[in-house]
Amino acid sequence: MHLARLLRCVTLCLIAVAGSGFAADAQAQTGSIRGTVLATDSTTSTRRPIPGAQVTVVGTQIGALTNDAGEYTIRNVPPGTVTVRAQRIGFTPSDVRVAVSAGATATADFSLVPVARTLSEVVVVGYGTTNRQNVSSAIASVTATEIANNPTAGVDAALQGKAPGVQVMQNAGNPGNGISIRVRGPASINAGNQPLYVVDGVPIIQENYSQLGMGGQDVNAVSGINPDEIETIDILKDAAAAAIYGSRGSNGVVMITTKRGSAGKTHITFSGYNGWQNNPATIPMLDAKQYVEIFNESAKNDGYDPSDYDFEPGVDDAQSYDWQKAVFRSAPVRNLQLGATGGSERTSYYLSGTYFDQQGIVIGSRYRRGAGRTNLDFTATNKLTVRTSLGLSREDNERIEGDGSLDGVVTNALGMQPMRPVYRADGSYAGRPEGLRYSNPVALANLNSTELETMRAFGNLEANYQLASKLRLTGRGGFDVLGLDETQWESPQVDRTYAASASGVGKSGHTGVSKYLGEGFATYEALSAPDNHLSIVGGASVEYNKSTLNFIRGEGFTSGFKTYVRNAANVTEYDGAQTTNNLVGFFSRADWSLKERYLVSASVRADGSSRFGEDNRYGLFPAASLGWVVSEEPFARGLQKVMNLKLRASYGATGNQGIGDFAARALASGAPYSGTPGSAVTQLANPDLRWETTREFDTGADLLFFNGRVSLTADYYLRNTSNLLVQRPIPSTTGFTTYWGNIGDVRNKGVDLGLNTTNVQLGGTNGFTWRSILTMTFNRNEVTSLFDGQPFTTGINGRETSIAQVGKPLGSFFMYKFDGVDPQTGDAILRDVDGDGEITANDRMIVGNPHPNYFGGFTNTFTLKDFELNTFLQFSQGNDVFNMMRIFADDGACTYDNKFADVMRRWQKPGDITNVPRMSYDCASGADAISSRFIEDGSYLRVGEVTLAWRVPAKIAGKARLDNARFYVSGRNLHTFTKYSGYNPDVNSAGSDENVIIGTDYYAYPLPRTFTLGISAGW
Amino acid sequence: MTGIPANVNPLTRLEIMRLRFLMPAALLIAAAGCDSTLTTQPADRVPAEQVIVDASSARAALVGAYDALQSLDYYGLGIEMLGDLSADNADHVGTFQYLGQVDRNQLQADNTAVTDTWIAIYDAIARVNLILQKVPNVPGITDAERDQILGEAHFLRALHYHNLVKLWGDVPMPLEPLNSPTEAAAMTRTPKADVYTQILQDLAQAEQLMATPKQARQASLGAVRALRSRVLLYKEDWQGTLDAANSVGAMGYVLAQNFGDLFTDEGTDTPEDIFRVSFTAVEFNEMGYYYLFDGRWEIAPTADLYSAYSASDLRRDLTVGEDDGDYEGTKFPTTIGAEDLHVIRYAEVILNKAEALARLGRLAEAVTEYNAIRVRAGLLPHVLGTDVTSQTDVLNAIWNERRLELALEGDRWSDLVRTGRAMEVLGLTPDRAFQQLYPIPARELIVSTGLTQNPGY
Repeated sequence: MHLARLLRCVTLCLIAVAGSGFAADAQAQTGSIRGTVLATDSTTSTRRPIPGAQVTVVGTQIGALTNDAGEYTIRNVPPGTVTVRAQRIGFTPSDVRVAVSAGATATADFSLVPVARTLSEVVVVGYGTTNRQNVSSAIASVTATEIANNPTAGVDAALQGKAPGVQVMQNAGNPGNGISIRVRGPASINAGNQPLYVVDGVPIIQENYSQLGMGGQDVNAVSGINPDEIETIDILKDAAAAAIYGSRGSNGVVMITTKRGSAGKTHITFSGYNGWQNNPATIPMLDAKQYVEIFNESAKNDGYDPSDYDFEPGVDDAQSYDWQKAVFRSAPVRNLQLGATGGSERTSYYLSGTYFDQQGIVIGSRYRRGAGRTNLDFTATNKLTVRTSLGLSREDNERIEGDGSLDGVVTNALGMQPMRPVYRADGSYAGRPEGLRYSNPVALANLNSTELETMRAFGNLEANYQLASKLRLTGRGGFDVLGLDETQWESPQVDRTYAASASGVGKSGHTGVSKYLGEGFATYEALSAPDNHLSIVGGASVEYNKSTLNFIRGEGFTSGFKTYVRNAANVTEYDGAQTTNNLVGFFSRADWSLKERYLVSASVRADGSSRFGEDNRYGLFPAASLGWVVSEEPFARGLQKVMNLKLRASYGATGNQGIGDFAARALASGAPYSGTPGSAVTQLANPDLRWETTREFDTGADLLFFNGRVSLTADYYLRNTSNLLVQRPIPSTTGFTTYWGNIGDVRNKGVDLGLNTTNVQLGGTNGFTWRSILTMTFNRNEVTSLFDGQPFTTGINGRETSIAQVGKPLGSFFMYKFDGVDPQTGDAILRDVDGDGEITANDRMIVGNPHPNYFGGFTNTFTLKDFELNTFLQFSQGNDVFNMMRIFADDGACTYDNKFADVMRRWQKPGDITNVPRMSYDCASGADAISSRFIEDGSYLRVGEVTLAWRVPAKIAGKARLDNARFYVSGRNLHTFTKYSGYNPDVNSAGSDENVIIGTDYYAYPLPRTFTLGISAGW
Repeated sequence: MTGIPANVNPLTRLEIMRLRFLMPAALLIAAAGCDSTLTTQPADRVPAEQVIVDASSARAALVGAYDALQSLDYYGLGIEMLGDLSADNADHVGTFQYLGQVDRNQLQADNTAVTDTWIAIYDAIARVNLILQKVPNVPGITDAERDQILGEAHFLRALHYHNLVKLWGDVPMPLEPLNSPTEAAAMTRTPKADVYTQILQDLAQAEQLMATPKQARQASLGAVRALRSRVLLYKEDWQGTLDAANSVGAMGYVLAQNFGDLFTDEGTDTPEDIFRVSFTAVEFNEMGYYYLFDGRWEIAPTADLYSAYSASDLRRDLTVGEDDGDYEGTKFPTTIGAEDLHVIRYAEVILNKAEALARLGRLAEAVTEYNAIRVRAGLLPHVLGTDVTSQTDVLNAIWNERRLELALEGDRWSDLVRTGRAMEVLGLTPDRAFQQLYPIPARELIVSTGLTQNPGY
């Protein structure tokens, strides 16, 4: 029904747009314009053609794209003097006035000046594009080349360190893993914290819809976007930029533009790489000898008789096994992409097919994606253009249990006692008879399977009609349809698992998610003089979201059968559910520039969401920004020679509706008992529930020195998020424990910087150049208000170690304070905060902050002749990590889990000075208490990439009929300099859905180190 | 901004005409169905107002009240596990440190197991309170059915409050649904004695309203009377306990022939069953998963419990399994947890009665009562004057029998506290005496203005 309504709406829009257009479009006598677009290098005075540049007749929809020789032809141009504009990302646009007469061909050649991500590139904003020069809000841009060939599945991971103000946390290294992105810090406590992703103008499905919990290592739908198909990514950071997306803009907006075709002969591109990955760092663990020594010492320390000791030296430590070696492997990764672009003046296309295959460095894990894209541009008349964007993808994700699970592969490899063998003498997997206290991780990885298959189609159809010379109408219908099929098999052959006692467990789940969107907007160029330009856009949008799920789990499979419940003895779990939510939005924005130096922008969006109570459905999100190009002022004429300076300031409001559907209502669910249907109220109503609102002030400056050799963009921001959507804890005497309310405020403030420099530029085109890009972000997060000031704590597996507390950063670590080891007793000294002489829950305090003081990335590119060397360093300073592995791996021999080798520094006799407490068989040394002893400095500097590329010289390439060809060798995640004792300090075992538990490492999958060999070529 | 700059062309007439056509069309499209678009209804849940409006929805709400018992924090695991882990019957052997706190009687106020069980019980109470509020006024229901529903609800409320008062002492006692978190936050703790008064009142109303004499998986008159014998034993009303126990006996309950029959995979009925919570492979309990080697083996019976059984005690291997110094809880046949668990069974009523008799000085009758339990376990009956002589001997024998008979069913901890033996049996130092009452969960104290913590926490 929703689809029908949407189709009706879109059809009407398109008819309205197109119908009136065709009628009026009588073919008059026209002329043509042709010419070339060349790039000028000011230092060398050489010129080269710019392919794919957009050449348009200003004020019309008529235009063309240049071919590989930089040539273009525009036909059907009405006679008269027109302004022709050429633009291309990375260049300053240029205008030429030319007189066109009927039946003749006029010439307009362009010479564009390249700008290294400076003031003049094309920037995608909501419902339109603009030039960097005219932007007065905070928008960061990343181009295709910066994220290309990154051997990870998702575009989100590739953004790490590339854009100021954007924090990318990998969480874990398993292929296809969900990534956490925070634009200018986390603001929400329970509602979503991920930015909104908009692909070719259409918001996409981006959440985690997997039904199988894999212990923190989650997935999300962003991995379905193929990085190879992306042309640019623009990140709307401040509220002024994001307010046009109103109710979903408060975490920033990631605008993704996919590649499109250009007129000219067919151009084929091929790229591919093959790589090898391994685990860059294993954690030093105890061997059997050390293990036995430590454990017998623990019994001795607590006064046990040697005859009671658990282990016998010489017997129990005769053999030692390296369990990490058993689960890690060297694994291949490869990517193949084939694309074609081309077209005539009226039609152009971009076609692409990609296959990506990454095996995990932990056995049993793998991610594959096949993706295809068809983007078509069709100029129907000189007033009407139609374009389609269609992406198809299929993902196959073979997953393994991780992190918080008792059957985690990495978890059990680290927990296993070192004297326990992986295999029996007959080659089968060792289990309980061999003394394994947990399930064998190698058996888990090889015998169990979890497969997630995602099929996706997303795209849109867009029509643009130039209704009048100043008025353009755009109608757009978009869709995103996602189908997830999951199966899981827990083999009964893995000893010490539940499945072993239940003769195997099989699960199947299907989730269908759909989003349909229709929108129409008008763009009115009210004033079009270069020194007085006003553009107004206004429109409406409607969006329908729906998800359905089915799930079934069965137990009891006879030998030879697996996975599918048809063969199970019992069905033990089932589910079936559906939920919907709809959004309606009205939006408008005006951009005015006067004398190319005064910029004013204002926007407003009114959004209605079905998620909120009847009285609070609509929210209003206004924003305004101002820009002043100081260097254009007459008084600054002198300055202009050395620098270009723009000052910006903005203020705006954005919203967050990232809560469950129907969260405001009192609802009852089925509550069967003994086979009889029953019901129970399961949710308390809050009719007052409303949007979470972020109000943000931003002020910044864009500077360009020395003819673009140095450019700096700097912003200061202050974001206050209020009416936080919080599942507030309430007295359980109500029968409920939480209740959705608008409670509390969070503040993020900080500075983000982007600095591009051309450090060295020698000789001609083949000379040596050295360019650098530095991005840095300094963010301070603070919870400024909570309901009644009540703090609340949360954590993984019931261990409440992260807190939201007024005056402190969100997700501060909250636990006992470790004040060293008593040199006399060897016991841990835990601070008695309340001074009652006992260590109780009341003695917990804030002991760490998971947020970095600053983070960023540093890219250096060196070119000489046909060689290019690219290096990328990534860093984060001051973030604490709760190494939660140590609650078992450094617990003073309280559990039988193997220990980090560092415990050999333990206290052994009175007088020993160390910070590792004595071993205690009875868990009496305080080593097992969750304390600040487990909080580590997670600062790191990572050699993220070193790539050496060789461009095949044109002479040779030409012989092979290639336009270009490039070979490269690349190393990623080569080394991480850190004091952190786990695998990876860039970690979060709570996954990408979690807001408060940050920087907690509970046996997270390590990030792989990758070496790739690649080629790209075009002909 | 005022006026149109001269260098800007105004719209042509044609353009204006087109606009006149398009603007209203666009507005029409935009406005069409906004309100209906934003009014969505849940497809897989129903609005709470539709609960308890007629006979069938009243029945469904009662079923929902039983469903609350299946919670893994209540009879599905939590309350039984706490009852043995806090005492000397079970040890923590797994990875959940909060269960270690329970085992060592070093509870902190934020203990997850204690908190979750508290929450599960109040969830169950809220469901019952809604029934007691709405069912009396529901149209289209026969008086007999209305009374049975209300009677069962009163029984359940008595059971829930007794569980609370046993573990926490004074507790907040809502008797009507609390829909406002603010109102709930102001609730104070009702003194233990008043809670007992309410429990007995609920049991009296249950007995008066209910008609069904026996049914094992829902409340019945037998269950009401059996629970009364338990509640009065805790109140140390010996004569009352005796009377209540006798009223149960008069209904024809007898011990199952074999102890093992009570704990089969399928949970087959026995004549000893009074009230058990139904579980299936779908709505399962986690006792086996927690107690068995094949499961998580998160908790284990203690060596002390194992050795408390004599080798000839038929119950030993049906309760505790031993393998190379490790113990598992074999009372729970599978890790699947599809078997129904006992809330109260006739063996307990016999032990309640035996204790009441012993307390009343009727030692010979007391010995006769608990001998029935011993004989079923394959043990020789005690002879008064030989095996036991004094009242203390008899009481100790009853308490020991109670431990062995009801081991791992969640009775032990409250029984030790009730009889004042917890400190001695568990070897607790006097500074840990406060642990005999569980802490009011820290989360409740944070969100409530009316609550106070038990001393010591």
